[in-house]
Amino acid sequence: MIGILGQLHPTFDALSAYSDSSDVVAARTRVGRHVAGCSSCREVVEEIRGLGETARAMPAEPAPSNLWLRIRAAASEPHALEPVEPSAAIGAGAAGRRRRMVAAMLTAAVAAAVVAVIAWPPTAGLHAAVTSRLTFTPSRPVPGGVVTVRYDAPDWMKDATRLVLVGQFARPAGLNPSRFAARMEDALADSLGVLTRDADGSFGGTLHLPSNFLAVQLSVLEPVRDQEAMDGIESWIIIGGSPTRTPSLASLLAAAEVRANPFSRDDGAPRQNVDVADSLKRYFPRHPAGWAYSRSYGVSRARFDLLRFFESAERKYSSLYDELWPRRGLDAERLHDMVMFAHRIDEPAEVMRWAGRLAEEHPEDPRALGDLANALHQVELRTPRSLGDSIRAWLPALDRAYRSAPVPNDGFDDALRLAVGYGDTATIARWRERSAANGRIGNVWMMASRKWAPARDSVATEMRVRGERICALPAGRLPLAGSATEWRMRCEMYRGMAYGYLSWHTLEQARPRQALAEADSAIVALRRGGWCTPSRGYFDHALAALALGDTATAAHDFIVEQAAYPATFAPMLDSAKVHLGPRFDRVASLAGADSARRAAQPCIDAARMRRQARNQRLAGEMGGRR
Amino acid sequence: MDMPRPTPGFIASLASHGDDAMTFRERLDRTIAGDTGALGELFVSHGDLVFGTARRLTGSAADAEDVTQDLFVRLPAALRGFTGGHATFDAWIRRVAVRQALMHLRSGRRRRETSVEGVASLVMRDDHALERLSIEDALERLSPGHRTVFLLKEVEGYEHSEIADLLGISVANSEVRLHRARRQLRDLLGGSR
Repeated sequence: MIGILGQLHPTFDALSAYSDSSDVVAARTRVGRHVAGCSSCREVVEEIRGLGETARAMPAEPAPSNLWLRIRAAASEPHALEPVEPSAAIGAGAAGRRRRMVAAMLTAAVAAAVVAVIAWPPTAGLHAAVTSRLTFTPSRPVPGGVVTVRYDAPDWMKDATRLVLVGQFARPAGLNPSRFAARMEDALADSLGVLTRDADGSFGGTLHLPSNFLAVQLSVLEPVRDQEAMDGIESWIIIGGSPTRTPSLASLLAAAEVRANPFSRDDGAPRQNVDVADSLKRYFPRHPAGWAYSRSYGVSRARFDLLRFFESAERKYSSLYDELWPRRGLDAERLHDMVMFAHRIDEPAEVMRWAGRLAEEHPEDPRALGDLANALHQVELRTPRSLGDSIRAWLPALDRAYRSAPVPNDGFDDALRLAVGYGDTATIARWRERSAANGRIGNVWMMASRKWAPARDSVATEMRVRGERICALPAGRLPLAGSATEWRMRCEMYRGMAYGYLSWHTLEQARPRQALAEADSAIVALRRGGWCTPSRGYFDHALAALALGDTATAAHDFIVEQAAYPATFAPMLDSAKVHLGPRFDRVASLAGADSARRAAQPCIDAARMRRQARNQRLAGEMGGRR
Repeated sequence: MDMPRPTPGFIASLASHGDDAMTFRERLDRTIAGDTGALGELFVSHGDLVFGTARRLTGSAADAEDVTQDLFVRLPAALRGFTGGHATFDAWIRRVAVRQALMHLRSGRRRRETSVEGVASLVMRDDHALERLSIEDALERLSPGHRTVFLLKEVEGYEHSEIADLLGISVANSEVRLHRARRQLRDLLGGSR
């Protein structure tokens, strides 16, 4: 650089070196003499020194408070205490790190305070210490082992002579049902043992674990009164270990999928999820599931809020992506985990990337179909219809995954819908056959709502079968959550909906008399299911009655149908007017609906009382031990 | 049965057993003897220092957590070689932290995170060319080699000969890295020349 008098300025490096020297030494150098007489170079030197001062003034980030827990767990393992001296050789860390990690994991495994029973009172804070009524030993049972269970019963249960331990064993991750509400059979559990009363008033028993044990979801049932104990939570979960009593990744992943309440449509057990995720992070720090395992996405619920514990998920995703994507031959487990991780950070393009790879490389994996169908659905939601070609290109992969999957899975509904929406005639026919063979109520309702004519017969068949069978509680099985009574009520509700669809379908077939009978069945079932104003059943009944020329019955049905809605809800009145035409009597209709509402009120009040009593009982269980 | 987890009062309860309860040397001796409580007190008093040092050098909170954990897990054994007192402990543990962080950087087990905040600041800089970066942002944008030398020299106070020894490079290389780091920082921070 050239100075104002044509004199050469020192280079930046020279000024940088000058800035490090003491003033006395520096002044004697050529650069020092130049700087003394050059204001612009003095400015540069000041700037250089200012950089160091600014860096030293950077605010220090405090250590995360949870870091101590990791340190404590690791430090209590004697083998972890390798010395590190200030003069230790650089580069010796990797092997030590591996040893330390193993040591930390082993230590944490034997620590008693691991997430084993998850008891989460909804009203308590995340960190609240809770003593569970149900305890068991050993704390991390091994497959094929025996667990001793103790239960400190709430007051209302203490006069019982025996209690039933009801449970459902978790399947491997990715195979646990996620839509319990539509699949009553998935909400069923086995009687796993009997708890008998001991001298001290508590109950005890044993639980024999199968050889493929991963985790089990438990509830306690009082069989005489047919009431479940939930300890303020929905159920308990025991997470298993390996034969060496080290934490089992498979167990943790399976437990992460278990819903505390099978009937809940929420991810309603944030404590459980965060505890399981915490364990994953603690025991398997490099596993993405530790930060991301979740089957839901796009839902701003407690689960995600609490997972802020694993902050900077995007950065971790980025890191894992760099590490994993270039690798060939990744196992299905890891690919699926990355699908879940991408869901967690709400990146549909990334979901598609990993799901596509899973379907291509491991079509036989039972999660491949669901992951791909779900990913395509996300693409579908976010892209214009004109981009349907990109979805169409994946239909063969869906086909392959369906053919390769050893068991039907939850992806079927989404795959079916995509095939119907984007496939050619042959594809649609193929998936229709699969739907008939592997159908569920969810599938057939979806197809019915699309008024997809070729499927109607198989839909009707499916509905008829399901309508008959759905509430047949298999011998020896019990509901996992809620009493048997509640379970049956829910079944009846689904049965009523099935008959309602059947009635509509039969009427389309010009068989009004049978449609009327099916609508009657729907009304009966819906009432048994606790639906005080089964409007849908009455609507179907009204249409069938009209088809038979029975206007008076239809008018009555339309009136009762309105009872489910407030008097100000005009569309129902309009609907009756359209169907009845000149025979519609507005005054009589309004008065009749008002009367029907009053008639339904005792049923509504009774249902409210039942809910209140249940809540009070649960509150009593909670209050008794705090 | 519940998992142990930190509560708001947990760290404070550790800190309350401070110098009044025992001398600093006693605390070190108890740590050496395997007293986890004493180790916890050292974490309370020096965890931030270790974490902050590691955070600066690694440029990543996740890596800094690993470094801090490594250091404290191995601290009881390392303390056997420390004969100083309270006055020199800060400098000693800080040097240990530097060593540990450098080992971590060298070990290849860094998490290679892409800083979302860093990306955001880059975007902002494109949009607002006149807006200056903070020193943290600017440091993030240096190469690891340049950033490490700059921080060791300017923040940790090492001489070039020590840096050369620590990093396995020549003294001249250390000096060159420092000059280049300074030049880049000055450019990034909007220097005039």
